[in-house]
Amino acid sequence: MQLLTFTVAGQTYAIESRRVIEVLPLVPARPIPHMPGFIRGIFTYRGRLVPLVDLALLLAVGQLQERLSTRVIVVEYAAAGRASQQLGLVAENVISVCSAEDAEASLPSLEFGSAPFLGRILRIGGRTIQLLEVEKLLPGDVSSGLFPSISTVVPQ
Amino acid sequence: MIDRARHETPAVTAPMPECWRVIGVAGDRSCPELQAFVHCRNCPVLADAARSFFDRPAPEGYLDAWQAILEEPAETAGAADTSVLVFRVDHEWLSLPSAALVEVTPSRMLHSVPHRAGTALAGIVNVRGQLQLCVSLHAVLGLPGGPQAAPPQADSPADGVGRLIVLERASGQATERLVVGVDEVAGVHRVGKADLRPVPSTVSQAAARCSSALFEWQDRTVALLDEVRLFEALREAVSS
Repeated sequence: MQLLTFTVAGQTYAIESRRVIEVLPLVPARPIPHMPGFIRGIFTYRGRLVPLVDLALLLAVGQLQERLSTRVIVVEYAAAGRASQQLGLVAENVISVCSAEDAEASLPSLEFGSAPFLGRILRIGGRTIQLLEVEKLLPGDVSSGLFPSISTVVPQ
Repeated sequence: MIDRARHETPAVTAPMPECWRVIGVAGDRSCPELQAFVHCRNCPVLADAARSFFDRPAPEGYLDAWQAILEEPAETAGAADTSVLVFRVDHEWLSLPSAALVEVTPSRMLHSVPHRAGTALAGIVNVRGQLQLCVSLHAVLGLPGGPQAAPPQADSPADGVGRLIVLERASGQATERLVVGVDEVAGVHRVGKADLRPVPSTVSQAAARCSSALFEWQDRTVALLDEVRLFEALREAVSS
């Protein structure tokens, strides 16, 4: 399993690279009022409007530093029982990939109700990497708010 | 497929100690680390340089340029294409969706099946250690010629233009394979959905029954065979 690694507040995280559509520079997003803080806004991705999630605020670990390596990871987001949508994730140091098969040690995902998206923890090449599960990234109400069911029947 | 070159992604430049240009592979190769790393791209110094290169604010205008790129809708032209294998049977140029293919292999000796000589079943052929039925596409499509189980095939050179195409279809849980012999294979090509024309209803040849569309390829009209109908026709020909 290939992983796209990135850091949030100095710690390394990863998502499965098969979920990744594209990695982009940190393009400006239009803020949406009354959204949860971790929704940076909506940005235009190849002619479509895609919500942008700030992983530092979602993980509640501080502020992202806006550098060249702070990038938008466009992922395929399929919440339970819904059609697949595109979602942008902002993280730092989005510059490398690694293979989960190279893990020297691993810990199964820790079960905490408040953060269901936290996945396995792997030790790869001297770095401790925690996997994030893309489908569980957004709380249910935020997910259904961002992607109302009407959008699943509109032909693309 | 996104055409990056057309958009001309904004360039980013930065000054840095470029040891790889001086003593590395782009310089005089005198760096002692090259013994261990062979190429600068394997060296942690270059990796660190790359990291620090990205570890700074975006240059003026860079993000705006990217935003302009992302305003444009994705090019979906590639999605409407189908990939087909173009081949020749006698004088007819035909094609099959490459999804239905397992492999194309040089013609080889066919083992004839007793009491089935002269039927559409050309013989049995060994493909990677598995014996497969070889069906004469010529007979099924009503064209002259075709693969023969006769000895002349045995001593014909393997690098001739004749090829065997291994087809596969899923039938329930299992997959079913059949081999057909063709006279020449012209490779895999992409065909846009818009370039496909319907088969004229006046065509009453056997080939037309299995064809789903026609398209122009290198000044020739090539029939796109429907893999499901073709497979049915081949099975029918074998069992009759």
